[in-house]
Amino acid sequence: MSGGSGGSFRAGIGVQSRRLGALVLTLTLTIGAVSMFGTIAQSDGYDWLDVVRVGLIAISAFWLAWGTCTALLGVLFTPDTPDSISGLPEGRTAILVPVYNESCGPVFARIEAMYRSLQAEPGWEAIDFHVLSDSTRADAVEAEKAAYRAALLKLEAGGRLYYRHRSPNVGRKAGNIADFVRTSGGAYAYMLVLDADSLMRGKTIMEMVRRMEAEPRLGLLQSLPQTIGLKTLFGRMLQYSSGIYAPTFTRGVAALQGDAGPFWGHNALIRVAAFAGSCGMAPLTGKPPFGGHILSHDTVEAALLARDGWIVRLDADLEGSYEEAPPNMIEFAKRDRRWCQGNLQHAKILLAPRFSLWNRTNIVQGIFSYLSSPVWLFFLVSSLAAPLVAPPPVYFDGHSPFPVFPHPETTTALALLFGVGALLILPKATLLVRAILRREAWRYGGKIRATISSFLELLITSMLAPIHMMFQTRSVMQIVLGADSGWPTASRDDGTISFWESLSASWWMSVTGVAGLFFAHLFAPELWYWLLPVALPLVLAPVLISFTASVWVGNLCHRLGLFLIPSDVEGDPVIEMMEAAEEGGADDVSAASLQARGVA
Amino acid sequence: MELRSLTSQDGHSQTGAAALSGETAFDLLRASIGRPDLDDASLLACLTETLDVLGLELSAEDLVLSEDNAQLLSTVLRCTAFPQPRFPMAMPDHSLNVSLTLPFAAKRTSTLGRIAGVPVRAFRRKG
Repeated sequence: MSGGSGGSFRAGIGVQSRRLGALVLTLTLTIGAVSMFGTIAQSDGYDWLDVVRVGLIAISAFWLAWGTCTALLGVLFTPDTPDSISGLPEGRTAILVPVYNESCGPVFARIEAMYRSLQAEPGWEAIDFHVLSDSTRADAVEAEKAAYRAALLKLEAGGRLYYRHRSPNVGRKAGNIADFVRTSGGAYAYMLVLDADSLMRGKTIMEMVRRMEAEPRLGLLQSLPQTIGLKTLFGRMLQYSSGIYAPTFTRGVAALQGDAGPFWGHNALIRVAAFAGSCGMAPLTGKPPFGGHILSHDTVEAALLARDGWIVRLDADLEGSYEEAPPNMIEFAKRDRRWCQGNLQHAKILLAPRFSLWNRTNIVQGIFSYLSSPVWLFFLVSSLAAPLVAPPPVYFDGHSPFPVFPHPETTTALALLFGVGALLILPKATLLVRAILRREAWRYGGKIRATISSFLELLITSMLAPIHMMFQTRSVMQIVLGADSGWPTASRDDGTISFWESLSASWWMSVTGVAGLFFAHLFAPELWYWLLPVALPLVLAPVLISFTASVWVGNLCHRLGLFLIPSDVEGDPVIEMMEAAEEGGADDVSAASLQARGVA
Repeated sequence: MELRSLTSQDGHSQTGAAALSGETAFDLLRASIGRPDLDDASLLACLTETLDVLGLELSAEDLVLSEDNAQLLSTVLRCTAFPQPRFPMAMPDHSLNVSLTLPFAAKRTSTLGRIAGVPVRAFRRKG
């Protein structure tokens, strides 16, 4: 790949400036937090544990401040309108739908909806669908074949809709895509990589192809998928936050990443030749979890494209890109466990040759998105233990005949608390205010309902945060120790979890919470109330998990106009087509129906 | 590659008109569906399977060779499960394993090696 023009040089300078500005602001906030905490910690004299705590707070504060800066950049940064060709695209596109033991009905309903949505677009003839099955269960494979045949007949999509099953599924999803490229890649200029739960408007797909054709150096174009289809309280909150916050936050990510943008593994259009040339990945040396096939391949593929000079871009303005998500905390934690292993494995490729500094930074961010939980937990534990190792107060230091009492640092502690609170709340509050000022709040139920939804979302996610911390910490520990305790329950199709199922998945958190409060009561009573915001949700974890997994509560919120998303308010034909396809069966394409059409 | 439009009337009228010989008919069929990678046997197998699914008592050869079946052929093609296009593309694997080879020290001991009296090869990871 060749270098860029003067425009891209200026854009590069802009990206570097934004990165530098974000880094300076983040470091300033971090230094402020560390110095305040240092002042508090030394009030009873310094000891080795204080040094550890200051280090931990530095890491946590940096991570928190970096997120806030990214969100603020999203508010301040307005990206240029991307180039797009005006005519029909010349290159052919393959839409890839990898499946792995998924329920066939919803998968093929989404394919049908996208197919019909595309049929309304000029140039749709240049697009084929490929269902790439890696399923390992024989019954799943048979169901897929039957569903494929039914969809083929219903859509009359012969020569446009393909199905392939492979076994063994070497390299999982990355291996599945690579297998397609090696078999059929030469037939296509672009491939739209989806997940089994992805859904995209035909118009959005065509626009992505046009943007790809307008920029020959563009190797990968990532859209921002909105979460849909969830009915539980947890799911509706997830949908709401991804709808109202994610676009602006993603603009901030794009502002920092420039041409070395992210790849999230799905809902992204990729130039096949670029992918084939750059993204083949040999297994890592050593045994899993750190060796073997690269699990979280997307981040690495983005880095590989960027190191060969291809542009990897995130266009947050592309609407009509959807995905589904786990409907409850248990399913969310299960998914997180897989992603955690993949991201921690990236530690092994951090120093891989020719990666750009920014791509290495991305990899570190991915790793740290999981390490931040153990860091936070370790900080809490060390803070509880701090009074045990603190030196006794010295009232007579030899310089004064009068006793010198330790200086109370209540004001500093409160200031630090409010500062951390502000870093947590400020991004979401800013994005809500932005949505209201830009008259976009109606897409989320109106100003008042959006404000109430945001407040409730903040409140409930704050209560769930310690539970996430515990799940993530357990995941990290399991991966580092090479263990997996498994998952006790499977939720129902709608995502509901009973209290007992929730209890069996989270009893150990309740025990931890009670133990923490008991320990604080005995050895650090002054910290008891400070510990409550973390310990209480842990004690109540089984209740919180099953409550947020309630479809009834989720539907009640929906009826009250809370946690609404644009597709709830405005509707989207592609979603309606998917729902209709899921409810309806296959058309009758038998000899009789052909006779009725007068062709047999 | 220029793949086809199965719904294109042009494509199917070409197919229907090609009843002079089996060879010509299959060539035209391949051209009309844009699948030069499919041989006659594969095409016949795909069409036979579709005719079975549709419950039509007609052989695939008759369907392709007869001029009268142009519209039916068009419909059958739209219901046919074709194999994926065979247009392989090379995708070489890149190793991301980090080599511990010290730079600027290919044929001599490194500074560290000199100090320790150990050749640089000793610092390289095998595999």
